Amino acid sequence: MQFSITLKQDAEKSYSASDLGFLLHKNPHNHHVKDIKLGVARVLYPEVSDDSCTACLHVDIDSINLVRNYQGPANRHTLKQYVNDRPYAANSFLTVAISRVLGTALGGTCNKKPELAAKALPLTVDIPVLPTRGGSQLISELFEPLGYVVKSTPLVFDTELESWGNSPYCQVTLSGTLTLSELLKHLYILIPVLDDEKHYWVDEDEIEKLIRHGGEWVSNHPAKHLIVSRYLKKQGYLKKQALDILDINESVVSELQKNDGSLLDDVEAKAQYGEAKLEKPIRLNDLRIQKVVEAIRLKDVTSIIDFGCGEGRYLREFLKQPKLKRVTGIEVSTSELLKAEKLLKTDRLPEQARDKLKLLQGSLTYFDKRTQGYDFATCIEVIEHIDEERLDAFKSSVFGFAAPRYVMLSTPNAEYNVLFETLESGEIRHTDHRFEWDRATFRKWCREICDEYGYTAVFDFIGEEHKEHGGPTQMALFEKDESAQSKP
Amino acid sequence: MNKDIVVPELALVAMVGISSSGKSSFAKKHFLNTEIVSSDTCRGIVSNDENSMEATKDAFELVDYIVRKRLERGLLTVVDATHVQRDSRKSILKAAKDYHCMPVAIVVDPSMEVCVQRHSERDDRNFHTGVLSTQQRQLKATLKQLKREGFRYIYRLDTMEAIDNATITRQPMWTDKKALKGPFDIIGDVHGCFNELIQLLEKLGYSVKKNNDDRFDVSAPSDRKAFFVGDLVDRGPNNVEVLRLVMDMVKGGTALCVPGNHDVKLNRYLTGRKVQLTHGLEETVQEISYESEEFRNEVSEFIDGLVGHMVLDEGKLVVAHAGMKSEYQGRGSAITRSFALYGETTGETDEYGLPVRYNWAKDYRGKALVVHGHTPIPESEFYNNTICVDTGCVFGGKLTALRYPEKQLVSIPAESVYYEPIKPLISTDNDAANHSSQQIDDENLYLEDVTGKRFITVEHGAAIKIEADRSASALEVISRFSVHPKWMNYLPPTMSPPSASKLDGYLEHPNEAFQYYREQGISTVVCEEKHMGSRAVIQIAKDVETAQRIFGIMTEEQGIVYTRSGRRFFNDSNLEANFLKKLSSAISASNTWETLNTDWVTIDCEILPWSMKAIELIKQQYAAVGCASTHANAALVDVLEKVSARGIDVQPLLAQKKESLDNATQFKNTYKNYCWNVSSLADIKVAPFHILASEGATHTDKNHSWHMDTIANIAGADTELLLKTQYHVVNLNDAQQIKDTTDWWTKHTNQLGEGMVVKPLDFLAKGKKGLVQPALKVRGREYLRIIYGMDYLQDHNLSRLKERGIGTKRRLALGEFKLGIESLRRFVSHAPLRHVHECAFGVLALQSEPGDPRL
Repeated sequence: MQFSITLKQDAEKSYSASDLGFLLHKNPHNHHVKDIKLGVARVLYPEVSDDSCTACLHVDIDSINLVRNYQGPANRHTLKQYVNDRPYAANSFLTVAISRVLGTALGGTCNKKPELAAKALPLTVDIPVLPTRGGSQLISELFEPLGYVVKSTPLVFDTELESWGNSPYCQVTLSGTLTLSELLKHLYILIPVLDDEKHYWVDEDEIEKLIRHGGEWVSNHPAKHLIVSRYLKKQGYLKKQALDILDINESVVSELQKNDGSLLDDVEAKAQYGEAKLEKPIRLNDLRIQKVVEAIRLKDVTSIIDFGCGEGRYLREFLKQPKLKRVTGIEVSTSELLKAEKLLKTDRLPEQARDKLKLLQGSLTYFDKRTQGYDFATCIEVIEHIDEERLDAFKSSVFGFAAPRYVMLSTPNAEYNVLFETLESGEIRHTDHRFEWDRATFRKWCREICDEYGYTAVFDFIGEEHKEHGGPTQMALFEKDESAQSKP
Repeated sequence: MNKDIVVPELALVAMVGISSSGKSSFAKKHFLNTEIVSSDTCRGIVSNDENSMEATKDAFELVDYIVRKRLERGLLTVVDATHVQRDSRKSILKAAKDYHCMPVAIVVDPSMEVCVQRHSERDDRNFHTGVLSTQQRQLKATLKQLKREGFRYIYRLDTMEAIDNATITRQPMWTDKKALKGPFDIIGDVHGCFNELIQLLEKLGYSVKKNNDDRFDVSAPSDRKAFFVGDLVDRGPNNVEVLRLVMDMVKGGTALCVPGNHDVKLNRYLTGRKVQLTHGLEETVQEISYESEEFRNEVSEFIDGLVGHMVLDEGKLVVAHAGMKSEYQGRGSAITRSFALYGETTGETDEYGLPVRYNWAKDYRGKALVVHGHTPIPESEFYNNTICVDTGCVFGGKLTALRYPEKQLVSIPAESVYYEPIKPLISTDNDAANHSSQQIDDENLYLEDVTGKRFITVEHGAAIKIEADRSASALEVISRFSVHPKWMNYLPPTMSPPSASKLDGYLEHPNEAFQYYREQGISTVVCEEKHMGSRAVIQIAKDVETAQRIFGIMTEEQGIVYTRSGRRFFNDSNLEANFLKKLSSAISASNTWETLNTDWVTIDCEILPWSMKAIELIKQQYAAVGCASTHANAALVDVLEKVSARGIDVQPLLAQKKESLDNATQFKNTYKNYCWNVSSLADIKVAPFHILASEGATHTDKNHSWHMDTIANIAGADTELLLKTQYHVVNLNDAQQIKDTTDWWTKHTNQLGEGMVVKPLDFLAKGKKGLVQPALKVRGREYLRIIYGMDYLQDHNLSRLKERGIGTKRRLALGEFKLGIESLRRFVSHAPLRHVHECAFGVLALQSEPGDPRL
């Protein structure tokens, strides 16, 4: 991976373009090589003259070493593959190289030409392969507010197979008049933000880097929330600290997080981010929680079970309800359960709360004796993650076998999708959604449950109701009809 | 005189005696150390003081806990405590009752002087001798109570001599017939249907001769034995003849018999007790009244001598009239006997006024097959490892026998309806028409039956261990993605490559695969072309009804295609239906249904193109990398050329990067070779390579030539859909054959073919340490670019890549293979779904073990 910086001489000829060598502390007549972790960084000058000088920072990644000695976050499947884009697309290895090889220039220091280091210069950066997770317009959204003229050309997957469309990379040229240090700082922060990936564990040190290299400009950047969130790999506790330091209000950012499903791979992660962004203005998740808590208040219940509890955001609310003496979360994904343990701080809960709470790995398509004997069950945004052909197993497990007195169940209302601006027609909100139902389909399905298992259902929406399309989330509250003869 | 103390093999023995009476020494002398639970030891364990009175409560709770654990596991247990107090005996009796075993009391009661003398000599018992007198008084009272309290065997040793000379005899349980292995022909409720019984016996190969004295001489085929599940009499036309025949067979050693409720009721009548002459008993009574008193006594003695249920064949088979829960098997108590005769009822009555029976078989999870009668049903079927063989002959059904261990059913239809059933024999439930009770029950599996740490027994080799965290991963995959477990009788195993090639410029080469099998003592292998598509399993039946009957699915599908992780292969159900229809036409046209004598089949195959299922992966991983590398390398080459033109020496680097640029093109050509557009069925190709299972058979006993020939035959019937797989059978000692095959592999892979799979000719091939690898994949040089990276052949890369460990991969491949064929075996033998599913679960669990994904 690489980028090239070109400096042109100004009209007044107040400096020679080849002074770029001084600014970078790298002699244009040499081939500079430096070992960095898992690879080699080089500085090469393809063009050196008074008019124009180009320096190229190139990083060669040893992908065999990368795969065999990889110790970073495990969620990125492709980093464990020899076939991966890390050696080619600009990413966090390049930022490591910026600080290791061009650290002095990054800091804005130049002993030989201090006035040039402090001067806004006509600089152009060429990045042949820049990952753009979030679409190529994100490049403009990130760089234009910083004063660059952005030229980005999407790269097609395969020139022989046009139907495959564009790859997630762009060839990008950025031109602007600014100091070299500013330019390097922008690249330092924004390359990993665009890539949305880091090859190492993100911890407190990362805040320090963000403040050091972005402190002056991130807080005024219109995309500051996205920058912080992605730079810190969406790790809530880090993000909050950083936002406090940068003095950015967190409220909107929390909406970037979504609590359903585990991150299976990068494609899904993207989709996940997309769904949260989609539903952001209406803060659906909070409304869902409110709705459940209201329902519990009104009913005579002392125990609750959350089917598909994910990272436990509902459980956290349930634990606060004094009337609930037993609170259980069922989740199939062990990684989500670990997140729930963290969120609920299970190791630090007072004894009483600890006795109340159970987190269990379980599946909604098997009978599970541990799920029996609860008053109230929640199934919030769960069924759409189950294949339609397996829904019968879900119904019999929840309504037939676990058979709580109340079940609150919600799922997206497909009719509402037309109101999401960023969703194309016929598209669904999340790549892991196996279906999204319209109101009629959902209600018919619910009524079948009522007939078969002896429940009555009341329908409702979550989120603002549209005259024609209904609410964004549709919901049913089932109540067991004690008088009815249900199937065993 | 020696006193012989008889103790049932499964008993709870209470030693009774005061302190220092010598009961502990007695127990130690006659029982294993591990069989004795001592209250003093438990006092010590909970309090560090064996004399602690304060710890009594905790100590006895511990005693009780240990006793119950042992009884649950069916082990004789001796409790060493004074037991002179009623409360301590109560907990003994309660535990014995709860676990259905005999409570035995052995009272050790030498004279008081002996005890006092011993007490004074001991320095570990520091209480006053007054305690002894108190205990002695309590013992006296105890002696009178023991029988009334419920101890079934009571022995008192009241002299030193008796104590010293006593012997213990362990008496096997009446129910324990584990040594009898059969084979058996287990016959359902006869109810006086003599003619049908004779016909059935003859059909089973018995010859029945009636002697002049009206008694029967029966000879059994080879070493078989008939086994009657009881209810020989009542309702039918010829009860006395049936009794006579069965008694003669039992006497003659050609039959075994357990009692039925009707038989027992007859005996109650015969022994003069008051019984209601209903439910067909009056006819039997009438019939038997014409017989001699001698005969009636014989019948009475015969029934009286029958054991309620029997555990046979090393515990693998249990026979009882009304069935037997696993907790009761091999145990003797009034409750287990009652269960054997009547089963359990729920206390409710149904719409016909009959008591509702507790469906014990629904919850049955025992290891032994339970064969029973009692409840007439239209057809015998295996259900949770139980089977009812009462097919209501007397009600006009048929008389059925189960051949064990063959598990075949043989039956004779009733000659007439001898007795009108109170409720109809044929269930009117629509579901039952095409589905067995097992299949209806199996619509939902219980989580506890498949998850957690498991040891899955397989036919070949030791049980396979599945760790709990691995089965947790499997649960996630199955719950989120897989098709109904009913479809999944098989998941394919992972496959190992050979060890790294010793040749320059190759990571993998046929030589090492041949060498592996040669070292394992395999002489012939088959080398099959490896198609680059997506691995799939096809379940296909002749028609929808067959699919429902075989797989128990409730949908209207002729079959299914699913991926190696159990996910439905086709997103488009019409496409899938057409695919299956086309495939079944080919199977029909090639007469394969007939050849295999089946109407369904499980096929292991590769479906092409790769891009059909994997297009997102191809784009996001392969095409993305192809695109990024081309642009990145081109940009770098451009920079390097300019740098070079400026007189700076970067030649070696430039040469390397130019080569990388070419490699990127090669890389793209490779993956694109496995991609084409699928707009209709005509674009899809299937390359089957194993016929895994069909009716009554897994085909793991056939060699790979058979599989290839059978498949080629089907493929011949539809060359549009089906690909014939090229293959070579290679004698590993024939250099020419090896050379020819290697040349073929080289040519095939140079044309961007994926490679070949080398298998021992036999599906199940044993080497020095059990089964050998079922297959090794030898992938081509070009193909491996998409696995190891486009530049993997560059020297500095290849030399490192050759250092790779394949041990884990091979262990997993073999484990998954064993689970896969076990799963098929269980499926074709109609095991409950949880037993089949457990194997599929196991395969996914093993696949979630961290391993090198590139191997």
